[in-house]
Formats: sequence, structure tokens, C-alpha cells
Amino acid sequence: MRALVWNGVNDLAVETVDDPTLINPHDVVLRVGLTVTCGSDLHFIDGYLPGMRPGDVFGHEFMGEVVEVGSQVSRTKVGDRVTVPSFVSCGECWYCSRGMPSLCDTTNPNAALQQPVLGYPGGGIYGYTHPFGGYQGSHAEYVRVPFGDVNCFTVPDDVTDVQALFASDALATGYTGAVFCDVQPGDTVAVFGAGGVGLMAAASARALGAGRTIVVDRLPERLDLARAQGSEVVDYTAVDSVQEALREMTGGRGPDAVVEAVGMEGHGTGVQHVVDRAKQAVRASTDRATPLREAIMACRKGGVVSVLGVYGLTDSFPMAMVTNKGLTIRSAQQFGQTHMAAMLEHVQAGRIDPTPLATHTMPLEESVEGYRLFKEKEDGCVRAVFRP
Amino acid sequence: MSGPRDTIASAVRGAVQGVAGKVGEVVGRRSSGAQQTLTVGRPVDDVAALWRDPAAVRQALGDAGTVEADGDRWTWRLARPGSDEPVEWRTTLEEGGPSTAFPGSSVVLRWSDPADASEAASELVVVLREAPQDLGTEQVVRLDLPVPDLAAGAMALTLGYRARALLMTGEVPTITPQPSGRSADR
Ligand SMILES: NC(=O)c1ccc[n+]([C@@H]2O[C@H](COP(=O)([O-])OP(=O)(O)OC[C@H]3O[C@@H](n4cnc5c(N)ncnc54)[C@H](O)[C@@H]3O)[C@@H](O)[C@H]2O)c1
Ligand SMILES: [Zn+2]
Ligand SMILES: [Zn+2]
Repeated sequence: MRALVWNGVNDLAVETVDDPTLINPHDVVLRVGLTVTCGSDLHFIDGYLPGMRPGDVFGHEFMGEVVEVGSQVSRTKVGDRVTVPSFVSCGECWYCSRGMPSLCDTTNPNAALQQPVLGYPGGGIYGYTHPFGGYQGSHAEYVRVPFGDVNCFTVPDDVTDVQALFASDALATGYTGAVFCDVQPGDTVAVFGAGGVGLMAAASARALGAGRTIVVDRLPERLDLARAQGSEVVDYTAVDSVQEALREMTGGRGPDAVVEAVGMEGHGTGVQHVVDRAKQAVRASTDRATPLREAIMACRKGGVVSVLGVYGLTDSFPMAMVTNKGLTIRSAQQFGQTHMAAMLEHVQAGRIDPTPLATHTMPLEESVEGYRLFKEKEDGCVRAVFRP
Repeated sequence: MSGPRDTIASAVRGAVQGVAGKVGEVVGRRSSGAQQTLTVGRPVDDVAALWRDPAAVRQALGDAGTVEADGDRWTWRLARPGSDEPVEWRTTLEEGGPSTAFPGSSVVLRWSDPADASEAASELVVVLREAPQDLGTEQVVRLDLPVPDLAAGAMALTLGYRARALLMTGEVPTITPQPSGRSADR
């Protein structure tokens, strides 16, 4: 089959690779319908996150049709149109049975690579670095999905392929982050980053009862999307201080919760940013963590900072702000399986619509160019969707 | 100046060595051994049954080798990093109950070569006891295998992790023969 492979830092190619097959009895194989770029891929494409191997098929946000089922698969049937959260859940372990599927205790074949860094390894993910399992990714014609009955969610007829696609990750992540905000009716939630994840976090926060959402970014087309979905916006390049802009918009009190949806490639302004950029350029530091610091600064006292952006071993963390402001920090890789039923209901009811994230759709053969557009944020690209 | 790759790689190496070192202190044996403790959400009897079953242990070994048993005599062929020649290791499985070395343990399984009485003899020890708060079984895997260049801490974790996966889900997570790094002609 054809697939998009990582051959090295900033070196991607569409190549012919072996078709996946059923290996374990709970596996299914999907014919990939749609698969999409994610900000998380940029971390290893740019070489900030180690653990890829040349020839790795990547991609972890996808939907498709079931074409093969293993001997122990009962609920999922050949022909089902399904969406699949990015992390592999077993449905049986302590974490999976308590709504934390990305923390699964059994699905990471390379757990021993992750344990030294995390203490306790997390679950596997499709098409990511090898410490996350080394599973084949979704930027391909077919993909193997372990524990098909746990991870394949049938898409209702009135939910489109594109909506189902984003329920796999961008929406699943944004929704998870909004749930972390513990939204009370009427709350104000600020979101740093208007990528797929941030836009979905804002939409989810409103669906969960937030009175106002304020999205911070610098890209006009993304801020337009945020506005169109009902958020107020701050262009951080157009204000002297994002902090003051947020204070002014919230009567001097600050947002009740702040979602950080940028991650380690985040841009920033000011002196700290210059220092961070310099350290990162010479690889003295893996991340700048500028948006994380800004999110922590922006949150009102006693509020929640929900961190969705992915960081490495960030070398300076403003703990004093967390303690002295009495903040709650919550973070996780998305809990898509836990929230899937609720997310699909919100989509069906029109309260959340991920469709506008699909600014570019193209054949898989053009996916190298798709990643370029996505990475450079060219041509208003929010997400490049591939049709294998 | 080292890059993030180096930083993380050395953090990983350091941590692996750290684990191995700790085990040396805790268990009071050579520091080449390693110990990894995991909670398995199944009763002690079920976990013990898995470890007594050579077919299940073979599954847990995966790419690390294979094992055949004739009664309590288990013969292992363990993959050696960087070599095609497996290391053969003939052992006897001894089973004990509560031991003084592991207070409160319910089952202790120990594979070792009875012919090797030296202080530094290789062994694989699995200790099972009831986990706190009714969470199932606390499974301790301690190993010191006759395999040169083995990342023993990683091996102990992998064995224990796969045994747990097998008990919890009926299968072992794997990307073999289908790793994400593909070898097909391009
Ligand atoms: N936790 C999870 O499960 C999970 C899942 C998916 C993605 N992610 C992470 O979420 C993050 C966002 O993903 P995405 O796909 O939306 O990425 P993206 O690259 O499309 O979006 C990031 C956005 O942040 C903006 N930005 C940069 N610096 C900023 C700053 N200082 N303040 C405000 N905005 C700033 C950029 O302009 C861009 O619009 C990434 O770090 C990704 O790894 C996490
Ligand atoms: Zn993602
Ligand atoms: Zn699990």
C-alpha cells in the first residue's frame, strides 16, 4: 500500500510499504477514509522529539471503514464506518476502566523505553515515536487497530466523515481539555492557540456551559474561525500585553480557566522569548514553554490551567505562580474513548462543529506538500486532510 | 553542547542505570540485576498460574527469547543483544511460600541453575503478593540473566508488563511482524 513515511528530520516521502494484517485476536484492520495532520507531528518532524526511525509510517488522527476483524472481536463488524481515538486503549486495565484510556497499562509494546522518563509508562499511540509504542500510523491506505471493540466507534449517519475524523483527535483533545476546566455556567475560558486543538477546546468549553471563550493567536484566518464559532479573540501581535488584554476583557479578574493549546513550538514576545529562542536554537533547551508561562500568568487566582500543548523536558517552570495563585494544573493526552458518546452528541446537535478545521483536502500522494502547508501555516491552512 | 536527542537519550540511559543500581542496593546483590514491580488487577492465584505455564511465559518473552519446560526443568534460549546466537540457560523452577527476603509474599517462583552454586548465579525471581486496597496482585520481577549486554531493568519491566497484559487482555501488545518502520520495497 502507499503511505507517508518519516525518513529523517524534515524528510518525508510517500512510499510503498507492506499492508498491515491482523496480529492479535482483538485487532481490526481499517481502510483509512480520511487522515489528517496534527500539531503533535511537528515535534518529531522538526526533530525536537526523538524516537522516530527512518521509514516510520506516521499519523494518528483518522476515520475509515472496517475491512477485517480478529477472532475475538465481537461488536465491530466489517463495513462499519468508524472513528478511532489516537491512543490505544485495552478497555480492561485500571486506567482504561476509570476513563483514562491514554494512560492504558497494557498497550505500549515499548513501555520499557518510556518508563525511565515517566516512571510509569503510558499507552500506545498510532504513528508516533517509538517510546509511544511504534505502531504503524494512519497516513496510509490501511491501518491495524488493536482492541477493535474498544477503539472503533461507529459514526452516526448524520455525522460526516470530516466531523468523525476530528473526533479522533483535535476534538477529542479539545474536549478533554475543556472537561478539565471544570466549567461552571457562565465561566470565562481563555484558550491559547487557535489550531485544531485550541478551536475545539473553545467550542467544547461553550458546549459545556462557558459563558465566554477568548481565543489567543496571531494568525488572522484562525482568529476568524474562532470568531465564527462564537469566541472573542486576542491577536497577541496586535496588543502590548496579552495579560492586560485579558484582564481588561474580564473586569480585571482574569479568566476562570485557561487552556494551553500551543505546545513546544510556541512563539512569544518579550525578553524571555528571546532568551528561550536562543537556548532552543543551540539545543540547550528542548522547549521555550512561553505559551505555558503565559497561560499560567493569565489565569485568575484559584483557577484551572488545562495544558494540552505537548512539551518535552521543559527546563524552567514557574512553580511560584502556581502556588501563590492557588492554581490547579490539569493535563493529559486526550481521553477520546471516554468522551466519544458526548462529543458525537454535541456534533449531532450542532453545538460543536469541527468541519471548518479541514481547510485543505488532498490525495495522500500530495501529503508531503500538505505537511509543508500545515507547518508553515501557509494559505490559511489549519489542518491538511488526506484521502488515501 | 548536546541536543535534545542526546539529553533525552542520556536521561534514559541514566535512569536505566539508576534502576539497576537501586535494585543492587535494595536486594543487596550484584548491581547487574534488576527489579520491577507492577500491580496486576488479577488475583494472586491467576498471576501465579500464568508464571507456572511455559506457554504463557514464552508469550511474555516475545522477541527476548523462548523457553521449553519438562516438569520443573525449564530450558531458556535468550536473545543476546547484537548477536544471532541465543544464550542457552538450563534452570529448575523452585516454588516457595512466604519468605523472609520478601515479607508478606504469598508466592515466590525462582528459576536458577542448580549446578551453579556461586554467589553470582543467574536467576529469575517472581514474587507475588496481594496488592494494597484490593487492587489485585503486586508482581515483583527480579532478574539477573546470563546474557551479556542485557538492559536488565528494561527486560524486567518488559517481562512483567507483558505478563500483566496477557492476564488483563488475553494478548501481548506487539508491533511484530509489523513495526511502523517498514522494510517493504519502496
Ligand atoms: N494532549 C493531547 O492529547 C494532544 C493531542 C493533539 C495535539 N496536542 C498538542 O496540542 C498542540 C496544538 O496542536 P494543533 O494541532 O492545534 O497545532 P497547531 O500548530 O495547528 O496550532 C498551534 C497554534 O498556536 C499558535 N501559537 C503559537 N505561539 C502562540 C502563543 N505564544 N500564544 C498563542 N498562540 C500561539 C500558532 O499560531 C498556532 O495557530 C500541540 O502542541 C500538539 O502537540 C495534544
Ligand atoms: Zn494529535
Ligand atoms: Zn488499558
